[in-house]
Amino acid sequence: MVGRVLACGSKSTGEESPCDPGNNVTTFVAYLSRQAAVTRRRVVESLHEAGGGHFGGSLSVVDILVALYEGIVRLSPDNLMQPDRDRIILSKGHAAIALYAVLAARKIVPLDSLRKYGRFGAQVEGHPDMTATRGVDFSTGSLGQGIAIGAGMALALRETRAHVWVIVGDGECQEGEIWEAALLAARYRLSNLHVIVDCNGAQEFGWKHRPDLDSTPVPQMLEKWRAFGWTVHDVDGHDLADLLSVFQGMAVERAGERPSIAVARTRKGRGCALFEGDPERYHCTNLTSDEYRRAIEEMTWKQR
Amino acid sequence: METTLGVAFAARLSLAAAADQRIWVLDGDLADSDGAGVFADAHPDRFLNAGIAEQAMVSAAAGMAACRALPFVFSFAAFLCYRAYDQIRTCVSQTGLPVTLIGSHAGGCGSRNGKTHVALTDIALMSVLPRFEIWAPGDRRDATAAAAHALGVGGPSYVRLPRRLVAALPAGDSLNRWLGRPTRIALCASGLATAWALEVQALLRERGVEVGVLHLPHLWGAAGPTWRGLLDSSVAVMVIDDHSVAGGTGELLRRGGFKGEVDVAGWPPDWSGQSGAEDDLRRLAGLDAPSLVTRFCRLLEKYDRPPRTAGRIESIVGAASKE
Repeated sequence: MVGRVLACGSKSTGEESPCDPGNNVTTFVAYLSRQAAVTRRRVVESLHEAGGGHFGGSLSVVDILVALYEGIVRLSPDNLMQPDRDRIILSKGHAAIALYAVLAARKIVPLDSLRKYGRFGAQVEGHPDMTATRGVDFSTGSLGQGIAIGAGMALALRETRAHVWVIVGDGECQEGEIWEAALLAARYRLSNLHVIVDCNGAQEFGWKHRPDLDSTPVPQMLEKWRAFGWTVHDVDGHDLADLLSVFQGMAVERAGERPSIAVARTRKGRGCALFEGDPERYHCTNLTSDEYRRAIEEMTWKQR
Repeated sequence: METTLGVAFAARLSLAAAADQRIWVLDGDLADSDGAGVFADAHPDRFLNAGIAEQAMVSAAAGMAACRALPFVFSFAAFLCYRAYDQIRTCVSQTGLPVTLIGSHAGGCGSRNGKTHVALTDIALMSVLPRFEIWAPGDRRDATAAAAHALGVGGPSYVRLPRRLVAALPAGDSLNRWLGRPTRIALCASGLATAWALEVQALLRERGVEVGVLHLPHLWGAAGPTWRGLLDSSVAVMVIDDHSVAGGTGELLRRGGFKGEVDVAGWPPDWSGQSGAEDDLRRLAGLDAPSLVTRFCRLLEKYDRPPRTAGRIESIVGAASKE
C-alpha cells in the first residue's frame, strides 16, 4: 500500500518541499504523523481557550485533513488565488478548528489566530466562513450542503485539472441533500469530485434512549454509495499512509466516469484516551481544568 | 431560577404526556442542546430522534398529526425554519395540522457558533404563513404557558427560544403584559430582548424617566394580533428585537393595526451574524443598553409634549453613553 504513495505529489501546485512525498515515503508519513499530533494539540488548546467546542469530531478528522492538505492538495499562500487550484470543503463545519489548525500549519492563517477561535472579531469564526478566513473555499456549518456545493464547483472546474474534495461526517449523511447531491454528481459523471466521510460512528444525541434501534449514524454506508453510482473506497482514517494512497488513487480516478468517495473509519476524539473513551461527553463540551491538563499531557507525550 | 427555555418547555410537555398518549417529541439530533432530552428521558417511546434530517422530521410530524397525534418538533431555529421551510409551508401551514415547532438558539446571539447557526428572520418567515401561532417566551413561565397553549390550540404553532439561560421576568395578570406602568412612549419586546428592554427601563428610571415595557411572549395568533387593547394609550413604541429589523416584532405591531410610530431596534438587515459574546454583538448593532437609551430619548423628545424631560434629554443621553 505504501508503495503507491510514491506516486503522490503536489499534483495541483508542483510545489517542492523538504517533505515531499516523492522523496521518501516513510519520512513523509512520519512528518505527517508529527503534523497531525501538533494539530491535535492545537485543536484542544484552542477549543479550551474558547470555552469549549466540538472536541470529538474535530480530532477525528485531523488525519484526513493533514493527509489532504499536506500530501495531496498542498495549498499554500502562493497558490491560494490560483483559479484552477484544488478546492476543499469541510462540510462538517463544526470541526472548523481542525481546518484552521491545518491552514495555520500551511501558513495560510496566522498561528496566533487559533487562540481567538470563535471570538468576536476573530479571523477564524466558529464555523468556516469564506468571507472571513483565507483558505476557506466555502462557508459551512449548516450540515448536508457540502457535496452539492462541491458538485457545482466540479462542474465549473471540469475543464481544468482541479479536483474538488468534500469532507462530510457520517451523521451528516442523514441529511437528504447529501443524497440529492450524490444522485446529481453520479448523473453528470463528476469524476473530479471526491468525498471523504469522517466515519467516526457517533453523533450528538443519537439513539441511546432506544437500545432496540440501530444507532449507527448511517448503516451500510459503503453499499449505499455504491448503489448511488460512486466509486467507493474503505480506508482506515487514522493510517496516514493508507489515506495518502487512497486519496492519490481517487485523484487518478479523475480519468474515470464516476465521482469517488472514501469512507474513512475514524475514532471520535482521536489522540486523547479521555475523549475516545466517552465520545458522547466530548462531542461538544467544555473541559474542567483537570480534564484539560490530562488531555494536554497525553497529547504532548504523543507529539514527541 | 434561571433555566434554558427549551428545558422548561420540554418539561411541561413531559408532564402532559404522562396523561396524554397523543403527545410526541421529534428532534433533529440536538436534544441535549435544545431541551428535548428532558422528554426523551421521561418518554423514550414517544421521543423520535429524526437524526440530522429536518425536512423529513417536519413532514413526519405532519403525518403524525394527520393521524391524531400531537407532535412537537425541536431543533435550532435556523435549521428548522430555513432548512425545512417548504415542509412547514405545505405540510403544516397549508394543512393547518396541530404541529408545534420549537426553534431554540433563535435570534442573533449564537456565541461562537456564528452566522450559520443564528436565526435573524425566523419571526418574519413564520408569521407570514397562514394559521401559525407565533411565540417568543421571555422566561420559564412564558415557555410553560406556550407549551400549554400549543397543546390545546388545534393548529400550528412556532415557538422561538433563546440559546442562553434567562432569568424570571416580573409576573402580570396576563402573558402579554406591561412590565411597569403603560406609557405613551413605550418600549416593546419579546423573548430574550425583553431582558434588554428592562435594562433600558432601569437606566431611564435611574434618571427619573418612567417608561413601560410591553412584553409580548405570544406575538401573533392564528386569528391575528394577540395584544389588542394593550397599546391603546401609546402613541409611539420603540421595539427592541432579537431579530432582524425586517419582519420582526415591529412589523407585527404594524400589521396588527397599531397606528402610532414604531421605531425598531433590531439586528441590521445587512448583517448575517457572526461569532461573539452577546455583549459584543449587541454593541455592534447598537442594541446595548446605553445605545438603546440614547435612541429612546430621541423618540421621547419627539413626542413628549410638553416635554416632561425638558432640558434633561441631553444629560440623560450623556449619562447613558458613559454606562
